[in-house]
Amino acid sequence: MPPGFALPALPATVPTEAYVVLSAVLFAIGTLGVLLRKNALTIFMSIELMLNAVNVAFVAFARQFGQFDGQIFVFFVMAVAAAEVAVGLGIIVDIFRSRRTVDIDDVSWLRG
Amino acid sequence: MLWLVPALPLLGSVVSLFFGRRLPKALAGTIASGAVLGAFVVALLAVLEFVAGDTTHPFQQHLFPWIAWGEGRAQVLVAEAGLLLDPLSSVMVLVVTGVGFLIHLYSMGYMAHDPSYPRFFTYLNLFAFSMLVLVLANNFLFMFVGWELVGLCSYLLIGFWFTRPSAASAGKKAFVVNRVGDWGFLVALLLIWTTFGTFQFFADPAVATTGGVLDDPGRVIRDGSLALAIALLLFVGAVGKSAQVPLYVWLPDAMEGPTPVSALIHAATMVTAGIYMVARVHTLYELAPASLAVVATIGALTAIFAASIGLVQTDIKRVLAYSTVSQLGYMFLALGAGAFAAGIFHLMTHAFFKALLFLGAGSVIHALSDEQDLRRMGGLFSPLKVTALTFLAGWLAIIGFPGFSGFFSKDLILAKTLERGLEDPWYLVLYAVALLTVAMTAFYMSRLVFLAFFGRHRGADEGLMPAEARAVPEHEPAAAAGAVATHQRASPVVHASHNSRAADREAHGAHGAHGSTPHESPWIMLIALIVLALLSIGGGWVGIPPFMVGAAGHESPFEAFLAPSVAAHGAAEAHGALEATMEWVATGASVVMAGIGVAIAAALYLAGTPSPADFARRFRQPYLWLLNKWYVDELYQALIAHPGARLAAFLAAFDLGVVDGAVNGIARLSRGTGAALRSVQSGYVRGYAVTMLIGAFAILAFWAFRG
Repeated sequence: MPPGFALPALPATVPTEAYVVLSAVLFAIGTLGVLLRKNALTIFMSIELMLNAVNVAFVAFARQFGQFDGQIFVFFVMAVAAAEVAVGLGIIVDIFRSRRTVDIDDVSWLRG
Repeated sequence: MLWLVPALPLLGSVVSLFFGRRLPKALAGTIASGAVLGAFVVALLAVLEFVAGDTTHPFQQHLFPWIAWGEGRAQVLVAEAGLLLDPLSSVMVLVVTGVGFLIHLYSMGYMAHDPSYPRFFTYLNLFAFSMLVLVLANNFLFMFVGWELVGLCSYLLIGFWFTRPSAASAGKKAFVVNRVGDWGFLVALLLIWTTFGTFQFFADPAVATTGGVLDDPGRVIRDGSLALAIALLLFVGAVGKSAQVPLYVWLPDAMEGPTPVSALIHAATMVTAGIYMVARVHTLYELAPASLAVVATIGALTAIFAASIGLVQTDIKRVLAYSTVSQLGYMFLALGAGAFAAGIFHLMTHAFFKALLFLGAGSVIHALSDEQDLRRMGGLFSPLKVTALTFLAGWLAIIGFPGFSGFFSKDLILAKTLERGLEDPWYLVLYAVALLTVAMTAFYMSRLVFLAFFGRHRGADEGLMPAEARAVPEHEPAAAAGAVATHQRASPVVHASHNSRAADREAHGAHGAHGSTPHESPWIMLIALIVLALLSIGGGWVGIPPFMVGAAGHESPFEAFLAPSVAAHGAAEAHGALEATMEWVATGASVVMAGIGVAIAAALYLAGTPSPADFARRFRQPYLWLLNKWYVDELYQALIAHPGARLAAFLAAFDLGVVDGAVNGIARLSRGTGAALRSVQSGYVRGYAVTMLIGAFAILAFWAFRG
C-alpha cells in the first residue's frame, strides 16, 4: 500500500470484537453441523458456513488493521469455495445416483 | 569308424527313450541289444585293423573340439571329444561291448515281465555308451565325462525299482560314496592342467599338438611329491569307482538293482574303471613309487577284508558282491606291484566269470521265484542243469582251478607280487595276504555252490537251514517265506540293514506265487550263460605263461600284446623274472591254498562234519563280526552319516528359525502394524472430521500453552 494512503475510518459504532465473536459463533455452528448432521448436503452447507465465518474474520481484521490482505484472501476463499461446491455437489449427486441415499454414514465403504 | 562304437549304444538309448514304450517289447529289447552287438562288431573290426598295423603308437580319432578359446591359429584347445585305440583300450572296449551284449541278451529274458522294460534298456544302453566313452577317451576331461556318466547310470540302475525304499537309498548311497572318489579325480585333473597345460593322454603325430600328459611325464614333473599327489588323488577316484577300502560300502548295497545290472555294471565293467584308469596313467604312478605301494596295500587289504565278509553272507548276490570287491582288490594289488598287464588280464577274466556267476545267480533266483537266501536253496543241480553246469565253470574259474581263466590271471598276479617281494619285503607280506585270500575265495565260492546246487532242497517252507540259523541270536524260524516282513525278521544281520532279497521280486510279477518246483530259465538267458562259461574256461588261454608250455621269455602273449600300453618305462618292472621252478612253486602254492579252501567248504557243507552250526558257535564272536560285515556300515553311520544328519538338522533349524524367521518376522511386523492401524480407517467421514477437530485443538493448545 502506498505510503500516506489509508482506508477512511468507519464510524466506531460496531467494534471489531463483535465481528470476531460473530465469526467464532458461525464457525462453531458450522463445525457442529459437520460433526453432527448425517445428510451430506447439510454437512456441505455447514462447511460453507465455516468458510464464511472465516471470511467474516478476515474482513473484520482487514478493517481493523487498515490493510487489504484479508479482503484479497476472502476473494480467494470465495473462488475456491465455488469450485469446491461444483466438485462436491457433483460427487454427492453421483453418490445419490448409485446408492439412492445421501446419508454420510452409509457411504463408508472405504473402511480399512 | 571308431566313433560308431560309442555312438551306436547312444543311438539305441535315445531310440529306447523316445519310442521304447510304443514298440513291442521284443523289438525294443532287440534294438537295444543290436546296438551293443553293432558296437561290438565295429570295435572288433577296428581292433583287428589296429592290430594289423603298428601297435606301438595309439590310434587317435579327433571328433570335435569341445572346450577351446581364441580364434584361428591362436586357438587354445583345452579338451576335445576324441577317441583313442591302443592295446589297453582294445581289451577294454571288447570286454565292455562283448560282455555287455551278452548281458543285454540275458536281460531280454530276465526283464521280460517288468513293466519298465524300455526304461531298463534305455539305461543299459546309456551305460554302454558311457563306459565306451570312458575307455576310449583320448584325454582326461573326456574320460571324466564317461566316468561321471557311468556313475549316473549306476545310480539310475541300482534305483531301478525306485518304489522300494531300500533300492532308492542304495542308489543314493552309491552316488554319494562315488562323489568322494570323484572329488579326488577332479582335484587330480586340476593339478594335471596346472602342471602339464593339456589334458591329452598322448601327442598325436598326425596333428601338431603339444605333448600328451602320459608321453613322458617325467620331463615335466621333476618334483616327486607333485607326482605323488596326482597319483594318489587319481587313486582316490579309483577307490571310489572300483569299491576299494574304505569306499567299498556302496557295492554290496548296489545288489538292490536287477541282477543283470549287478552282472554288467557292478561286476564286469563299471567297477573296473578304476583299474583301467590306473593302468592308463601308470607312467604317472611310476614317477612316485610310493603311490604304487599304496595301491598295492589298499588292494591286498580290500581283497582279504571283503573275502572275509563273503565267508558268512547268506544272500547269494551279496556273496558275489563281496567276491567282486575282493577280486578288484587283487587287480589293484597287481597294479601296485607294477604288473599292469596282469591287472588288466584279471580284469578281463573276472569280467567273464563274474558276469557268468551273477547271471547264473540270476537264473537261480529266477528259477526259485525270487529266492535269494542260500539257506533256502540246495539240490538245484538236477532241475537246473544248464545253469548249474555253467555256474560250475564260473566257480572253477574264480577259485583258480588249473586250466580255467581265473587260474592264469590270478596266478600271474601272485607271481608278479612275489617277484616284487624279492626286492621289497613289504610285497612279501602282501603276497601272503593274497595267498590267504585265495583260500578264502575258494571257501566262500565253494560254500555258495554246495549250498545252492548240492545237498537236498531246503525249499521255502522248510524254514531256515538250522546250521547257521541257530548261531544267530535274534533268529525266528521263518514259516511263511513269502512274506516280506518275514524276510526282514529272518535276516541274519542282527542290526537293521537293507535286505536285497526281494530285489528281483518285481521283475517276475508274472511268476507270482512261488512255485515249489524250480524251473530252468528261458533259452535266451541260457545262451548268454553258455557263451560266458566258454569264455570263463578258455578266456585265460591268451595269457598262458611261457614257463608252463616250456617257451622262452617270461611274457605271456597277452602281456606282450599289452606291452605297448602298459610296459613300465621306469624302474618299477626292471627286475628279472622268477626262475621257472620258482614259478611252479608259486603256482603250486596258490592251487594248494585253493584246494584247502574247497576242502573246508566241502567238509562243512557237503559232509557236514563238523557241522557249520558247531563251527559258528565255537567261533561265535568272529562269526558275528563277519556276519555284520565288521560293523563298517554301522561305523560310517555313527562317524559320518549321523553327525551329517545332525549338522543338517541344525542347519535346517537355523534356516527355519533365523533366516526364514527374519523374513517372516518383517512380514508379520508389517501385517501387525497394518492390522492395528486399519481400525482407524472406519470409513465414516464424520469420524475423520472429529479427528481433525481434535488435532486442530491440539495444535492450538500447543501454541497457546507453549510457554
